[in-house]
Amino acid sequence: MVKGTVFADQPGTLDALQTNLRWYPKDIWWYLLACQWRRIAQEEPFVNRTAEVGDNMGSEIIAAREVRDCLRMALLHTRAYAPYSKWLGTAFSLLRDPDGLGGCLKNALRAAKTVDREHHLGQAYQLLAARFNQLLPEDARLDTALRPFFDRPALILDAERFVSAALANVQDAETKALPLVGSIDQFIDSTDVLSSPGRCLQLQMVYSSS
Amino acid sequence: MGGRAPPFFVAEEDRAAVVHPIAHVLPDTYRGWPLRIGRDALPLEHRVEITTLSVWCVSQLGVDPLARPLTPTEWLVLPQ
Repeated sequence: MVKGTVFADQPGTLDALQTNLRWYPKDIWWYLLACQWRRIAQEEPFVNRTAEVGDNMGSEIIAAREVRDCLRMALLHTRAYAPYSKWLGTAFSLLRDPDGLGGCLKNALRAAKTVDREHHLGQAYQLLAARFNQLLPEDARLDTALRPFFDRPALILDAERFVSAALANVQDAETKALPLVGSIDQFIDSTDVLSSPGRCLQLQMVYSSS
Repeated sequence: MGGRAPPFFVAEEDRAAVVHPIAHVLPDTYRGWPLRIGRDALPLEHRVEITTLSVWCVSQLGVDPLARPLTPTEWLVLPQ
């Protein structure tokens, strides 16, 4: 809707529409950042916790999910819509990568050992946290050091802290009151739903139910 | 069936006046590229989508942002 060649638009209506839809309103954007941090927070210890019980494949799957969420977070930071899965890696590769985030994520995917997987993902979380801090006023920035997950051996960023920091920037009361399920792309992974505007609209009910 | 024709947006009151000329005046090819596409039981047609911007928005998004500002939850259920 917001890209593609426009051959003629004399009244400027299409341009106005594209400008309107080019990116989310600011409050929605902060809300989406909060929800994306929550996705990361919910599984960040699991790369280690699955390996603790000998489930290496489970650890690899969690790592791949976290890498995907990191890619989407990087796109969110730069106010770029995330394309569907076929083009997600391509969209990420087109972003500026001044701190080596892409390399950390590749290393996390390739790591054979849990300790290496966790190390590279931890680095990626820290880089994303530093990028996020750049969006905040100096006195609101958060510590990006990794820390233990309670008394478990997993090392985490504790991404939940960043959820709160993002939400603190939401001004609109209606948006602030929404449950932290995120946008439809953050909680649905079905082509049959995402390609149907009618089905998508029906899912507004998730924001009113507890 | 080949590439997708670009949508052609018109005001509702102009729609009828545009549909006929496009269907009958558009050549079969342009610079070697076919402008009419068909296959099997589908007839050769230009397949240019002639519509209003509002109708197209509703078909793509389910809502029309030109009619009124989107609500927060409408924004959230627009797939990226």
